[in-house]
Amino acid sequence: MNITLVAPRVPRIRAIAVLVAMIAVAVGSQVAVSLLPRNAANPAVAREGPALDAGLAGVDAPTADSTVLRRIHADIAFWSSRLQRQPKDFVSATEWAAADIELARATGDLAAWDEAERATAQALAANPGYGAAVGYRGTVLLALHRFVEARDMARSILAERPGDPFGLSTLGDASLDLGAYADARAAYEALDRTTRSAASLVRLGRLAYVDGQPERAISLTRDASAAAEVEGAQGERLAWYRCQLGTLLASTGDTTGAEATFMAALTADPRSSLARVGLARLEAAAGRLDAAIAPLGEAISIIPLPDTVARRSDLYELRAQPGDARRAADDRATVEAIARLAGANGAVYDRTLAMYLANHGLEPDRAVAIAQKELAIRTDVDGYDAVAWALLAAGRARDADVVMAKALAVGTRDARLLYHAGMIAAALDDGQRARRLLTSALALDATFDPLQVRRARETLAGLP
Amino acid sequence: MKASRTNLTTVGLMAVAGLVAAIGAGPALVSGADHLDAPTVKTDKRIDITDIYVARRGASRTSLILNVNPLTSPAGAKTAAFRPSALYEWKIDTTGDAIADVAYRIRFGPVATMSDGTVQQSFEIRRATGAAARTNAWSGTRIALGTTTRAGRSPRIATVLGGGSAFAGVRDDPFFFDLVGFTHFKARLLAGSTDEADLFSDFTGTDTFAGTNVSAIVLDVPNAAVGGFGRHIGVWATVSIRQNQQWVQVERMARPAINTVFNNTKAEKEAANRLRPTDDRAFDHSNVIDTLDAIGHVLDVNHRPRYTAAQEEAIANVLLPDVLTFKVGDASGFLNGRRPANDVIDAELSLLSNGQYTSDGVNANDKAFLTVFPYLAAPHL
Repeated sequence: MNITLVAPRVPRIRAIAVLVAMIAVAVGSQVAVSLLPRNAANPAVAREGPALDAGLAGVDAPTADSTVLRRIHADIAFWSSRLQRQPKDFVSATEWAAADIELARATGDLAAWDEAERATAQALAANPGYGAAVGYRGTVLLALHRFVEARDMARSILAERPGDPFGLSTLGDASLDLGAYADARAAYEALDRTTRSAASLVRLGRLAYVDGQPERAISLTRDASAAAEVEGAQGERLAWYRCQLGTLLASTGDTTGAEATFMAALTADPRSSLARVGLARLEAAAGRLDAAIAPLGEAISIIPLPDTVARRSDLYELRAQPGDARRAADDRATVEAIARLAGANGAVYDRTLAMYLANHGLEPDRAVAIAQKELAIRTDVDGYDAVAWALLAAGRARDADVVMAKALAVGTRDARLLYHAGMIAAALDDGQRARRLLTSALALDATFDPLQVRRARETLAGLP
Repeated sequence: MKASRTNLTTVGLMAVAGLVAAIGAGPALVSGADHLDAPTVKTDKRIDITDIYVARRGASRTSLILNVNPLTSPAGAKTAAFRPSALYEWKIDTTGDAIADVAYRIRFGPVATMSDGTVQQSFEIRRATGAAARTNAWSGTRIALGTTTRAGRSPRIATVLGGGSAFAGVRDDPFFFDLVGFTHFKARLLAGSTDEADLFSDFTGTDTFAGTNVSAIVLDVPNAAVGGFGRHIGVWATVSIRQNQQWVQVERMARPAINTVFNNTKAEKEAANRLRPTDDRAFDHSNVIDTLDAIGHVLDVNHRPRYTAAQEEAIANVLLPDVLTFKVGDASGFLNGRRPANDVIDAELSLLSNGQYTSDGVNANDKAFLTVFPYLAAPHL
């Protein structure tokens, strides 16, 4: 046994959430307020108007201390205390990891991922190859962006147990994230052959999207969502599948279908932060900025992810009401701080930070360095895109063009990619190519990012 | 002990067709600039049979118990549920040919969450006989309609047509076993260890399942409905799920520990779940003999008497096909049926080791059983 686990604990502090709150207090952001339980006075939300239009009426507001979180904390205390009594109890170690994973998903707490990592390590030290622990460890390693480690573990499992579903799913996911698409396809198809399930279908859907087959991706993800229901998925899990579908629909211009799907996700899980982010995207694209800012605030109160905070900062910038400039600046300070604080967790938010910096023309050389560091490990389509976009922000349009070509070569049909490519072409004074790419991007999906969509339109208008 | 129990062991069984996915973390948006955070593949505990029990209840009835949802924590008891789309069955052979002559089938409705956070489902039980009992199908005569018992509430007992009672809901896991010790024992045995001190070093007498719950289905039926008093019957349970408009059996369980002890690879365990008892001798005979040989080798090295080849063959023929044999109306307990209080692990250790190893050090459940229906103790909350 080479892992020592801490004693059973009192309900844990949501480390990142608390840090965000502290930062927000320091910079005067409203985030600190939005982290309060919704039954507490929340003047910031009141100022921002109704949560959404009437369609959302009746949906319970999220609370920071919900029944679900109490149950998860109780589970963590239960399994960790058993493990302390019997350190070789791989069953308790595995169940503890499962509870910590659930907590991490519900709150975005990176410390919970770390604890889950230690628990799976302890389970596997006591019982090497224990299937459930392998599966959870794969999830944890992927969440912590330890993709190579996840891939290697999966390969090791599959060498011993060919066809192992835990191994196949982990191998496929790690390969997808590392840009090894052929390996991902082989693993996912094998998983699907073993048994067609929501888990296999949603993965094949993701791969189809990367392959540039959005219709097939939608079809597979729709099937995955339906399969999840048949499998009895409820709450957060069912909402997750629906949000995957909603996002795909939005990404292909079907905003009506996307809205219905995100609302269905909220019905399944009134706490769903993903559904709120999705609905906010649609509202923002429709120009209803108040209606977009409010659900983003709620999403941040549930899971304070830097990407969501960054989205809100952009909306403040677009809305430009009195005080919005300060709010946007506060949110940006928060994004930076979260990313910096999370650095110790294996640079989980590095790519997010690089894109954020590039989007806002901040510290371009740093953005390039971060994105290139990521690309050294992850040669996926988004990795090339991030480097290209950061290079453009740094004024290196020719270098950006070379890297962007690698991203486009994958074949993914995604508005953000096309927009980035179009902006690079514009910077190279290739007006014809820029027009084609930017027009394609906006025709495909004008919801991907309100600030960038505005820039795309402005650029198009200025092209010769 | 099996399925999920096997899932808990070194080479864990997986009801692969019953895979479900837990959600991933973070924004996880498909068109986002970061990774999918895709669902974790894992087994669906709701269709993972932990144990079945068959026992005499008074002079005229037989009780059948089928448990799923292993390792349900006290906090998880409130929301433990059965899989609505699944078909749970007891199969009963009354003629000694390992082919079902009677089937009791149960399905559950959607999960309703109550204001106190507990969950509830309706259920229906059907009984089929003859050829209709052999397949995995939602057919037969309806004999009971009921509602699951919410965690923390008194048992809701449904009346069974023709006599008897039915219950479904979360209860204390009646199984008791030092799984941690056994797992290390088996790993070392497979690795070739013959050192008894080493083999048994991790048995601590700790019941791995103490303090945890399962979701139980308990059915009392008249003896006449399962072959009649004195009849030798064989019982097993299955779970099937719908795939491509068909019921596909993905889980099977009879005697405790058969899959755990004798099947060593995931593929073997998975295959065993999909078989019928009539397939068992062809499928599992060599595994049983190999396991008995491995233990016999340990006994040899340690100067203990081991089984002869003929005895091993006889044991294989007793253990296979894998059905829980029961003389209707007989109260003697495991290997005659199985009562919740029976220390089946000690019995099986003894059987496999020619009486040389007799206990895992855990001899009783952590909660007292009820003397009345539904027999299993109230859940840990």
